[in-house]
Amino acid sequence: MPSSAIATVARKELTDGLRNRWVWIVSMLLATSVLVIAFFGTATVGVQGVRGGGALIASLMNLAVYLVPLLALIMGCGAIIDEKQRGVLDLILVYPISTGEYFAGTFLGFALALAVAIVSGFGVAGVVLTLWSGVEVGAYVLLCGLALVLGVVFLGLSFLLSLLSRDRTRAVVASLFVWIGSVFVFDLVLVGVLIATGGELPSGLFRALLLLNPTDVFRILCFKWIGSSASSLGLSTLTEFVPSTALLAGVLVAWVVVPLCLSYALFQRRVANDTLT
Amino acid sequence: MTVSPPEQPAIVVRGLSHYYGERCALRAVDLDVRRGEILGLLGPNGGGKTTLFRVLATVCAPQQGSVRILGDDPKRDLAAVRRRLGVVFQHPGLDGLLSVAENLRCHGAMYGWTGRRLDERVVAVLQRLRLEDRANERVATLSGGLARRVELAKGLLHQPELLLLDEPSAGLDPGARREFMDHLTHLRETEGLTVLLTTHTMEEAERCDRVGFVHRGEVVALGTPAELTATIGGDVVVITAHDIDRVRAAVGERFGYDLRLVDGALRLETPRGHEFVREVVEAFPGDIQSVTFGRPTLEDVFVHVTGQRFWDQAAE
Repeated sequence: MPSSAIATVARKELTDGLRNRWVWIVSMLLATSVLVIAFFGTATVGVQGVRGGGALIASLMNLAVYLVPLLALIMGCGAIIDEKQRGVLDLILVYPISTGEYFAGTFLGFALALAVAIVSGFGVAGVVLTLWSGVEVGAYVLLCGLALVLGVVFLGLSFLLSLLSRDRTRAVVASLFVWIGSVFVFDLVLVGVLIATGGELPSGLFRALLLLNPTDVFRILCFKWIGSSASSLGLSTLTEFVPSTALLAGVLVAWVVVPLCLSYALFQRRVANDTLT
Repeated sequence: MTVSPPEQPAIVVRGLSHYYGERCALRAVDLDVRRGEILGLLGPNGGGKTTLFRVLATVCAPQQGSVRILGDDPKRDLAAVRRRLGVVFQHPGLDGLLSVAENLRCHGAMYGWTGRRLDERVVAVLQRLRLEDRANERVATLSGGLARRVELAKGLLHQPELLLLDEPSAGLDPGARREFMDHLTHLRETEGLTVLLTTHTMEEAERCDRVGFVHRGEVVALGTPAELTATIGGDVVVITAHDIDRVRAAVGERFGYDLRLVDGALRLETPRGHEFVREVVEAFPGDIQSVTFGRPTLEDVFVHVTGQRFWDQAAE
């Protein structure tokens, strides 16, 4: 598979992404939210000024859990469907490049645009915080990196949703359901199960269920690597069991690879059956 | 990749059939497209011309029958065929967020063109299509006519031997449509480009070297516009009347003609139309609403071949 075709498609998608004002609006929203949390997060308990340390990182981690999957899902759910609706896919499919090259290039381009949005959002805020209060730079950078991985996971899911949907509106609605499910509903259901079973849920099953949700895996990784205030880390701290880094990384990689493989298989099948365009 | 001799047709289609589920979109189509000609596929929407176009553009594989494009079988070496094809679809294939030059560069890169060679080719194509002063404008800001010209520039950038255009004048005003066809004719004359286009406008079809009518999945007529119109013997007379059946019967009885009833009007193809018009008006002065006659057009040929009016079909 010649890399130049992948690079060409990726460059086009990245340029499109960087010229999309919504990417920058969300990036600014991310930066603003980080600064607001840092400066005013403790106002409710009577403390003014910038918080530092683990509490700040834990708050920012929760911010990432809410915003990054949403940004990735909304960006990515139009990836294939927009080209399909505009009729551009026909043209792409007659280029002398393979569907694999097109698919890989598109995902890479979207991932790079997402990375620019996340890194610039966290980066601008990070520079301000570093100059102002001396935030833990190492932990902050690690959080940015993990947020980026979380974004790529949901970008992969958004590609799958894009290919399963008949139009962009349906893809957006499906993305919102996935976001609500992953960020809010999943943990609530687990809590409900715990209450219903009087806490008798086998711990192995509980751990396995936590790994089914990428946002919980992200939280556990933050807990493990950054060591933030456990009180802010939700259900992932209800178990004393902390999976190995390799297992957690493997699960996150699987969360990227499996939806992407399914998306690609679906894409190829629909191209072969001429039902995509 | 096969290097085919110049005398070999650019496209050879034999017994091509295509189905969407139970519905037959193409029915054992045979078609040759000669090198260096502009061939127009004319037909109403739903007639099968877009399906035929998509198979020739290699978007979908032939289900039954064979297709050879520039001597190659797309089933065997798809990439080789695609490298020699230029395709412009009906839907805009441009990226509105990119400039004209960026769109062209991106397109060229897809065909493996890079660096100075690509830059020089982009400049050359922009000049040829008189777009050089628009090179840095974003495509989203261009008019429909200019955007269509950029589409054509894209289609030509990688120097294809065969250009396929699906409804190239869709959305263009008559002036832009004429200008677009002028560009195609010029390219054919200067570069020997082979062009296959689909259309449902008679004006566009009449400017093609040859025209094929695609109707209900079949190529029902094929020839130069002059050859096709010559298949109608003389003039075409169209009569409308309040009581069309009575007039039809009366005209048949009086003049011995079997008039065809097409979409509420009576049609007759006759070598001496002007004489028939005078006689029929004199014979049935109170019964006839209108009578028109003229030299046959491609639309008349379509009616002659299919027994149906083109525009009623096109509107379906």
